Amino acid sequence: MNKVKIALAGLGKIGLLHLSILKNIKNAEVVALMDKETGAAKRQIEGLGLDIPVFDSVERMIEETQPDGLVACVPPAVNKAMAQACLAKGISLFIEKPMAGSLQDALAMTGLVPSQDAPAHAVGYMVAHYPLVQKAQELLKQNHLGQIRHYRASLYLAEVFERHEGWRQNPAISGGGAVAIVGSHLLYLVQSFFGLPHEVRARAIRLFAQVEDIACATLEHENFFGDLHVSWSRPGYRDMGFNISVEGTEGFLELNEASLAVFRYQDHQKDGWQVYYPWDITTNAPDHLEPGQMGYWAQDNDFIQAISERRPAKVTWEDGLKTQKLIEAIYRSSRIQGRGFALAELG
Amino acid sequence: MELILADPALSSQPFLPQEKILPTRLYLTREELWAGILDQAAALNITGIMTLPGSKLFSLLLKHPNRWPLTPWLVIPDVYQLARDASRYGTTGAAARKILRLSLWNQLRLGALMLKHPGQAMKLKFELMMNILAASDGFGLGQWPGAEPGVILHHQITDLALAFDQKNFFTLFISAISGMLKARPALATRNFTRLTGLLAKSGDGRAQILTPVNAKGFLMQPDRKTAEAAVRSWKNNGGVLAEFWHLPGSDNIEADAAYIQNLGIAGAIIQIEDLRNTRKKPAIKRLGDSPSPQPSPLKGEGISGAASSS
Repeated sequence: MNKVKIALAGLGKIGLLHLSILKNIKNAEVVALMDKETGAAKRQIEGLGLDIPVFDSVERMIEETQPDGLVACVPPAVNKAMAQACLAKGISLFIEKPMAGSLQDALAMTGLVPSQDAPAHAVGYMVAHYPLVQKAQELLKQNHLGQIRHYRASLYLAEVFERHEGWRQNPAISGGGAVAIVGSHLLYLVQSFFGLPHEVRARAIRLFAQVEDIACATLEHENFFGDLHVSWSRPGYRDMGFNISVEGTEGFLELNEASLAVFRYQDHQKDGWQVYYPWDITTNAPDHLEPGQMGYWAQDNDFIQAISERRPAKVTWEDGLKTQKLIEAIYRSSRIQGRGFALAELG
Repeated sequence: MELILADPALSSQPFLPQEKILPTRLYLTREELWAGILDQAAALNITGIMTLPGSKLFSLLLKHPNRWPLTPWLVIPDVYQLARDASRYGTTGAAARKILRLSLWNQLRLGALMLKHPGQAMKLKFELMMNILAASDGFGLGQWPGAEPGVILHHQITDLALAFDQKNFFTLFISAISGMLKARPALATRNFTRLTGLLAKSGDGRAQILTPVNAKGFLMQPDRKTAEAAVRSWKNNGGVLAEFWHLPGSDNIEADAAYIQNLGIAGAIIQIEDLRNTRKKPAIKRLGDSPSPQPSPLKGEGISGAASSS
């Protein structure tokens, strides 16, 4: 079996995590790395005892090493340039979330994807690979709860409690704050569970800097609505924690990162709860190297196998674009003091 | 068997949702409430406390080292703080800030560690630099006046080093913790079989290994049977500390306890939620009373019968 040749751009903490995983996927070979701090990146790679060339430009890296795919761990505003460099050469591209620094960029990126024989492309919403999320998706698809009437979704992280400097606080590079950088995981889940709403009413709150630290939104769908709350300034959440509860005509569902509980109203007299844990629905993979952070191995492996098998990745750029539309709608509504913003306006 | 109570601040996905950990952490913000938990722990033959450097719990133990027969096990480094700093300052900036926060004396001790390995320091070798980062969080142990404490390398760092086949990293960590910090070294991992395979190559069987061991086989890579064989082998080396042996949703703690006893586990992590559950207390006490193979850490660097799978 030919190995999938992979290049990686951006050797920050997430880049290093992806490198550690990619290096251990049996049919993948990391052939090149790129970082704008080339000297420091070279020292880091040599310090790890790895013999992988480090480039200062993605175009040169592609030209010299001809990878099958590229994993981009760069700030969102740089993703468009990565897409332009890769898609013109038929190279598959995985980009860390969110898909782009703006909806305009995300639209331009999806426009680059050829309609036929497109190379695999993926976005790093690793939550899509949590077994409990997949189970919840399956139940919702089967209308297990009847017709959806309402959902409540929240995502919290204890990260920002003072004014910071850096790209995450520069909206021109990050594309936003808590909503774009961490809340986008929740928005991906919302759009994959319920589809896109037709209208969003949202407020964003800045506590410390130029980007929002907290956001609240109501999402209006055709026959139901959802409430959303996102914060990266929430004390107590050392790890990212999310919760989605869904009320339907026939049942209730509650999902978080550790369990999925489902209640069918018809079973209310016999303790109608059914609870799923990750260990009930996860199977070990023989060559799986568990990085200790859920979802990362599965998403990198999915990207490699998508290239190898010439199939779409689990989280495509179309999913990334829908999520980007939600991010944009939340920002647009918050700019008009929480009045309704119709997603139709986004095209 | 050695039982170690886990600070809920260390609880991590996917075992408990963050929103459920928070009430326990809020409940335990006052020292007297922690003291009550530690009284219960001691009564159940728990002998260790797994916590973070700089935590309220560790401060309490330092303040009253003779009140409870409990030994601290510090998990280092604080990866969440490190990740937050790395988001803000970059990986190199985060490392520099961590070292600058240390006292001058501890900075000198780190300098001495670098001078012992000048070649690696000059090349910024991962094995040395990551150890320096990790050890810088362990200096708080210097104030511990009691019995030999433990230092556990966080599983995300162990598994990162493992992914890059950094076998010298582990040898250096074990030597630095036992030599510089005078503590028992332990490695936490979610890839036990592969880690013991790598340690076998370096011939170093001294470390205790903290890893998920449960009848469901969850996080027992590559499969439960292979991982069980590796666990049985490691009991002749540093020994295995089992975490997540009693998973949420399991209502039979006795069966879960019997499972790890049969594997010859040296120690087990106890979660606060289980300690506070009256129905589960007798099983925890019986587990603490049960004999376990005595690990022989730090007696020598030989290795015995480690799984060769890697």
